[in-house]
Amino acid sequence: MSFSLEQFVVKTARFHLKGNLAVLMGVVIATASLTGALLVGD
Amino acid sequence: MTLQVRQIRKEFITRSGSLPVLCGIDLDLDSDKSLAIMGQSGSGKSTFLHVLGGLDKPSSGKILLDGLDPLAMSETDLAHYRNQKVGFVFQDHHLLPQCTVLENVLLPSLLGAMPKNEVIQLAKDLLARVGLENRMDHMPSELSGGERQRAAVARALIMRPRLLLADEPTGNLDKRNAENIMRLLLKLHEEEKNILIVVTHSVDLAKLFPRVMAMDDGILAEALSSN
Repeated sequence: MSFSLEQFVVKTARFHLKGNLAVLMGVVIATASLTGALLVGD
Repeated sequence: MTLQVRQIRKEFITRSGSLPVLCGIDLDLDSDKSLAIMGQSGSGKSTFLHVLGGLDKPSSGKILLDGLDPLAMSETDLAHYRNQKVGFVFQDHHLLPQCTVLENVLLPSLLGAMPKNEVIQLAKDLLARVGLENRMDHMPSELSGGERQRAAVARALIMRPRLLLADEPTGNLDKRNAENIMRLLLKLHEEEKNILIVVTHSVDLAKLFPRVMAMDDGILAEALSSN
């Protein structure tokens, strides 16, 4: 059995994956909307 | 003396002025001594424990633990001091849900320099001593309230701290589990020969301790002796 800081970080990232993905998707969609609006000048 | 506390004062600045919470606390505790602190909500018990454990800074005063002055330390040294010298048990267990019981107990050691095999063996030994030898690979969500708190006690002891602080560790437990946890804390304190300070609301639980003090409006005084 081993437990390192790296394993802890990976385990925590995996545990919070759904929440992290939801935030990431929100950022991507918001960025795309704002960039698109700026490009078409609306 | 191993723990010396001199004239600890703590004030919070509020919109209506200065609010004194700790009013010049003095305390001396030898190594391997235990103490229970009682008092009403808002009397300053938790603030005092946080100051002792280096989680909060007092407005003035002096603390010496084994000759070390945590109030004079840099943030880095203070973090090292908290990791190596102080164990904390809170009212809530604060176990991380993504880690097994054994991994939770090992967490404080991730920042230390103890050899891995040695610390894993120590964690297993501690879990056996708190009666969780068959629950090491379980997740915290699979444990009862009393078992979670016992795991939290094992986690607090993994670095073999000189000072073990417990802030109402039985506040969320029923009477039987509360007494079990308090007796467990005292047993481990006697085995580890550290300094144990416990805050509790329960007179019955406080009577298990050889020395009981009362906090009233930021003033700490001897309350009663169970002997």
